Amino acid sequence: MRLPRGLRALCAVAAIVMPLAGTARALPSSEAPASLLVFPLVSVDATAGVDTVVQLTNTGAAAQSVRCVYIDASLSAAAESGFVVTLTPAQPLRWRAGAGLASLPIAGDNSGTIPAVPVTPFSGTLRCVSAQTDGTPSAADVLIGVATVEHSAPVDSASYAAIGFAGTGASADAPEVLVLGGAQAEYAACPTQSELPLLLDDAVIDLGADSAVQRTTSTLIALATCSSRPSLGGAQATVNLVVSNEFGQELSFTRSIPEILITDLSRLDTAVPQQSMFNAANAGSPHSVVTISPNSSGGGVLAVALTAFTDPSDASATHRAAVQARVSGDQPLPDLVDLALPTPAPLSCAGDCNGDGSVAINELILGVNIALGTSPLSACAAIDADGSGSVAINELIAAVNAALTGC
Amino acid sequence: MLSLHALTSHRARLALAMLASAVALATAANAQTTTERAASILIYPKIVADSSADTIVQLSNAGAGRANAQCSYIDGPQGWQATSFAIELQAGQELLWNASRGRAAAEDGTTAAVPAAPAGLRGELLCVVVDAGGAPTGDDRLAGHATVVTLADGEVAGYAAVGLRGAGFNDNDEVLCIGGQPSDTCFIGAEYDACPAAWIVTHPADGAVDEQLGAGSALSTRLAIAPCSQNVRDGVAAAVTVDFDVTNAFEQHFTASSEVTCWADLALADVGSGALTVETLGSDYATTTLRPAAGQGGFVVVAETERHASAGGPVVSRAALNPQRSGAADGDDVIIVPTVRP
Repeated sequence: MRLPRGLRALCAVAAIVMPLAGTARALPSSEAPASLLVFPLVSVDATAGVDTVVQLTNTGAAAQSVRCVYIDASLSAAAESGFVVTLTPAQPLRWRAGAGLASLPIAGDNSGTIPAVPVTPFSGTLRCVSAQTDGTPSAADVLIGVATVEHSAPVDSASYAAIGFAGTGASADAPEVLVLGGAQAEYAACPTQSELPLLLDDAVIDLGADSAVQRTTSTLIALATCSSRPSLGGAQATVNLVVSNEFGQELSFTRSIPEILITDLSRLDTAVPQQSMFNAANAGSPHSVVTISPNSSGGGVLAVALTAFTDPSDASATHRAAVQARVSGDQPLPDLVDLALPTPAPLSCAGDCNGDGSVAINELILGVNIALGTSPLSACAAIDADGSGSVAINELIAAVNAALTGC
Repeated sequence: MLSLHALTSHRARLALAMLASAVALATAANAQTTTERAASILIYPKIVADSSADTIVQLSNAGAGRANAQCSYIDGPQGWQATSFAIELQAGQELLWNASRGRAAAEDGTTAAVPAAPAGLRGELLCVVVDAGGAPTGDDRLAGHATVVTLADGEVAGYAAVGLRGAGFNDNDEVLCIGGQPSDTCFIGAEYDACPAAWIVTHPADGAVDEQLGAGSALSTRLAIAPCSQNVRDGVAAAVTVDFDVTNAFEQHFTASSEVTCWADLALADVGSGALTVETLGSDYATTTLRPAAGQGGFVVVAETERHASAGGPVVSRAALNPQRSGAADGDDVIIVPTVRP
């Protein structure tokens, strides 16, 4: 029996709609387990009482190894480090970035340790990717993560979820390089647009039924390129930033950003914050959806913000809340995450100040003087084998060994 | 014997139901709530406007044209009382207001008025995209954010509103079909994406020491939960049983459950007679998966971690978080909204 013409047309529409529904592409998301997690903002500053609590959970039913990389915004080789840990099924791990985790909870089943951030103060990113036990990336959409930036004076905390990239099932040739989006995508593509619903800087917000409480706002924004190339001096991207006030008026600004940019919102477009388009008075309203659109011919960008609410009569009374970005669109070109970190000077030649292939007694003495602070590190950079900017006892011992046994 | 008209009608209904089912299946992989994309229904799971706190509400029209929305403040503890209002947003416009005071319309008509929430409100805000006549449309235009501010000390906790996207079919009536299959109530099946089958919350164990604050301090977690099924029109409270599956750092599992009627702001310490405290869990942190009991509808949730300088003492800091989610709830959820003419 033939269906009426209207129903035949409806079925034809369904035939078109259903394949379209099935081909919807995955966007990065902080809402679901993924293979690659990006924490755009990790802050550690013991002097200022700032630390970041990281929670990483394996939501899968099998053990899962994870390879993680810290990169400080300075992009110096000494400020980047990595580690590999194995989580048991459904296991959460939690650590303070400033301290790390010297021992994992389940001896024997867990493996690896989590070091503290490579330098302090640290202000940068953490990327974690599901991997094989040797650290070779291997997609498994089981990871979720949360970061909480804590301040001690006054006590304050703000949490955000890591941005996750699902695996596609494809595998490119270079295991150390993750391909995000593009024709050979191993992971979901970066978004073409991120939107942050923000209270603009220096906005005054009245609170309570009688408006008895006032707060002024300021925002710290973290932008991280989807691509990461620490061994090549860092990635870059060009972004268009748009402020749309509540009256439909728009202000925009285009700039390039380094691999990691963590800055006051009002310093994104000018060195004079009072002149910024992100200042509430200049924008014409206290709030805006700030749109971040990377250049389509360049790489993608991820964003998260911390908005501070300050008592205008007591600047020390500040509390923060995190704002996560809404995302849309797929970047047409792939973003590449290179997990290889710059290689510090080999430890076996530590102390070879003049580069002659051996360590002499005067070089050892110089190393001790640097460790004691009586000589500058620049007098013998080779003694600082791990590139940390200081000389530790193990580096002096390595230098002595090199003097005794050769480089 | 069926008449030709009835046969055609029956066949048409059958075909429509099959079509709706097929498309629902085809889109099932993406059919979940979202906090990252514009949606047709927004739920702000925690709005407070009382003497202790106020809430800054941000509501955006992500579409290229005007958007009309019908919103309802729903008071949880005071017996499911709803205060509804209509609002219009220009293309790309975001409106901001305090729940305790609402906002006045601009004289030139560019920004809409929003009423104050009922005094003492603790509950949720629900907003649905409608057409100019007030009929729900399923157009994905809205996105939202809320910041709960404690008035005494200015402590803040922000989260994104939970969105349900349109599923492509919508009969434009006041019965909003959230996920599920065609039924007598929802003839064409899902008009909106389903609520999640599970929410995943990573949190400190209740009572664990806050390392930054030191000995004697404590951490706690609250969960604001609203059932996805809501009869706002008739003021009928829905209920859902929430099952908690907790995994500690040692891979040990613990379970508990809690009944949520209409709305709840649960302290984890009160769930399962203390089953989620640090003493019971044996580790300082855990991951909890929250699921509706078998066969029940879904729910939405936002989590808040609280820090106390002393155990049992006042909260000195809090941070809110939208939990991760997984799968689509088994049960069919229905939201029934009142008709509010603009």
